[in-house]
This record gives sequence, structure tokens and C-alpha cells, in this order.
Amino acid sequence: MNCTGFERELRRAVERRDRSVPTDLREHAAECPRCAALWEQHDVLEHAVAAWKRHVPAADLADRVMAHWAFDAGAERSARLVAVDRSQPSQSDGNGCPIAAAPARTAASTRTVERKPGSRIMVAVALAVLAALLSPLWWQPDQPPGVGAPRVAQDQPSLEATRPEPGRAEVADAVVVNQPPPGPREPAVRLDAAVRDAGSAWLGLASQAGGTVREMSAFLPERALASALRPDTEPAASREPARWTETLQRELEPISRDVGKAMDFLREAVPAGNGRAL
Amino acid sequence: MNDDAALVQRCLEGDEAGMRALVERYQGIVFGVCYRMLGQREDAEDVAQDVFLRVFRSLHRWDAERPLKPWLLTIAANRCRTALERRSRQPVPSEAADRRVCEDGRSRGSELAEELQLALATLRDDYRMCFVLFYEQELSCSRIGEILGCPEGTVKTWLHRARKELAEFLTRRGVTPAAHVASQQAAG
Repeated sequence: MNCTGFERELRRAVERRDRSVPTDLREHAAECPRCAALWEQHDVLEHAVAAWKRHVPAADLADRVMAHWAFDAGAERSARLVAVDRSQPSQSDGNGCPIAAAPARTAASTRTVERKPGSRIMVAVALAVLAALLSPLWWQPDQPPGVGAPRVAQDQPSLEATRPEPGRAEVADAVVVNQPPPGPREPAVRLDAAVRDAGSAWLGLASQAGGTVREMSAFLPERALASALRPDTEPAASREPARWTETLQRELEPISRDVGKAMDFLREAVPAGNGRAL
Repeated sequence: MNDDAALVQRCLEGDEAGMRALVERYQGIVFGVCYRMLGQREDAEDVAQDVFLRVFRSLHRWDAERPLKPWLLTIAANRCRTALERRSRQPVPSEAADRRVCEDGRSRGSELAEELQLALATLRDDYRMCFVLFYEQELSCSRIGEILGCPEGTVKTWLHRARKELAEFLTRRGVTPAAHVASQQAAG
């Protein structure tokens, strides 16, 4: 037998689990040092495998598998299983360690429940910080707290100063408005102030926009302005900035009329006593 | 096999006693494979539990004409491979790894069986599974091929490579026939 034959026969013996070693294999291993080393390794491994197979750790998985299965199946089955487990004495594995009847997922659920108080605290802290950040929007330290009332009263003097005083009664009324309200705020006064604010803001915005456009047209060169505004429709001689601003004013007139109508309507809609400032 | 079919039928009907009986019948096989593959008792118990839960969920797909044990071992092999892949993705702290090796060396060094278990941990997963199924479960190479989903020739190649690497590991660790005989005489 040669070395190739020795290896082939050894592999076959392993695959067939044949422990009876042919004599020709032994004879060749005694003559060949290389195959003797292979034979020695085979011998060690066979002994190790035999010892390894005897050394099998025991495990009792029935309780934990059934507990987990019951947990998965639902609360009703789980409760029934817990009742069965309590009626039985505690079991232990081969090493004397008690077997945990509770499923692994129960521990995870417990961790989830334990996390909840922390998350609640975090939410409470976040809400407190949010409230602290937003508090300046509705409360000012030099005025009594109220929903919107101090802001309307503060804006009142500037509006009053821009308008002529028809009489003493109106001055007295304005003074009353500047004072802190004694009781609950009247909705009509707030609506009046809101209308005045909105109307003033709209008119101011419209006039400011018109003025800005006029100023811009004054700074721009005539040719560039004309070509930018009317590129191809008119001849070059007719492209003058003055005409263009007049055209713009003409185009804005309907909007201005609409705004005027809206303001007239609001003046009529607000009661006479409260809409005096308009 | 008929006994297995009857047991499976009880499980499919929701009989908890039948399910418990199935676990008790096969837990040694399943846990043995898991323990040999994973090398740690806690991990092996978790994976074996997972195997049985999956078996319960998949029992309706089992072919009653075929034996139950290879089907169970196929599921166990898949779960072990998944657990090993998950373990390989997790970073292991070097201190914990060193401590595990030291503990292994201290507690298992004198035992031949534990030397082999230690050597198994160094094998490739495919080789280790092949070796465990061949020696622990005493399955044929063709059956192992069915379980692992590979040809019989591949199984034989893996088996002999596993044997070669294990033998070299044991030799490096000083495990020789003479040392083995000496330790047996000392123990006797």
C-alpha cells in the first residue's frame, strides 16, 4: 500500500464509521513517518470524539418553551399556563439551577414598562420648556395678564394721536381705553381695534408699496426701465417712466376703490360708539 | 415515525400536553446540536427554544411521510447559522473574549472532550455543523447534505477538512495519544 491508498482507505473508514482498522493500514503507518503522523492524529481525534459524545449537557426546555408559546398565543392561554406552573413545584436543570418559567419576552416587556416613567418625565420637561419659551407671547410683566387686552390698549394712543380730536368725550373715552380693563373685556372694543389695525396696515402697505415703486423707477435708467417693462409691444419713443407710473396708478385704482368700499362697510358695520376712532 | 405523526397531530389540534411531549422527546437532540454549534449554554437554550417555537408554527407544513428528526434538525441548523451570523455582526469586547478564553482554558484544559469543544469553536460554521451532525447525531453524509442543502460530496469534503483542522488544533494544544493515555492512568 502506498500513501495515497492509505489516505483513501482512512477516509472511507471514517465515512463508514468503521473502527476496525485493516492490518495493511497499520503496516503502512509503521513504515511511513508521514502516514504515521496521520494515523496518530486520527487516533487522537477518535478518542476525543468518543469522550465528547459522552459529555452532553442536559437541558429541560419544556417549561420555558411552553411558557413562551402560551405568551405568544394570547393572554388567556398565558394565564392558564401560569396557573399550571404555580401548582407545580419548581424544577431545576442538571446543574441545579432553577429553570425560568417566564418567557424571555416577558423581561423585554418589563423593560418597556420601566421605560415609560422616564419618557413621561421627558415629555413633562419638554412641555415646561415650551411653555417657558412661549410665555412672553401672551404675558408681559408691566401689564396684568389677559388674553390680548393689553396689546390692544397699548396700540390705542398711537392711533389716537394720528387723528383729530372731535371733542372732550372722545378724549375721555381714549383715556378710559388706555387704562387697564376693570373686568372682562368687551368683544366689540376688540373687534373695533382689530378692524382699525387691519385697515391701517392695509392702507399703509399699499401706499408704501406705491412709493417704493416710484422711487425705484426714478433710480433706474430710462432705456433699461422701458425695455424691462415693455420689451416689444410699443415703440421706443413712447417708453417713458412718468407714463409708466401713471399707468400703474391707473391700474391700482380699482384695488384702491375696493379697499375704500371695504373700509366703508366696516365703518358702517361697527357700532357708532366703538367705531368712533375710525 | 407513526408515533411522531400522532404526536404532531396532537400538536396541530392545540393539545398542550402533546406539544410538551414533543419538546421533551426532541429537546436533547435539538439542544445538543445548538450547544455544539454555539458553544455556550445560554445561547444554546435560547436558540433551541426558538427552534421549537418555529416548529410549532410550521408543523402544518411537515410531510408526515418523512421522518421528523431531520426536519427538526434542518430548522435547528438554520437557526444556529442565523445566531452565528448575528453573533459575528455584534462587536465582542476584547476583555470579555479574553475572559471567556481564560475560563475555557482553566476549566476544560484537562478534559479531552472539552478540548474538542474548544477546537470546534475555531472551525468554519459549515465544517462545524457537518462535524456535529455526523458525530453527534450520527447522520449519514447524504442525510447531512439534505439538511444543509448541499451535495453529499461537499459534506464529505467538509467533514475531512473539519477533522484535519481539529486534529491539528489538538496537536498544537499538546493532546497526543501518549498524553491521553497518561491522563487516563492518572485519573484511574
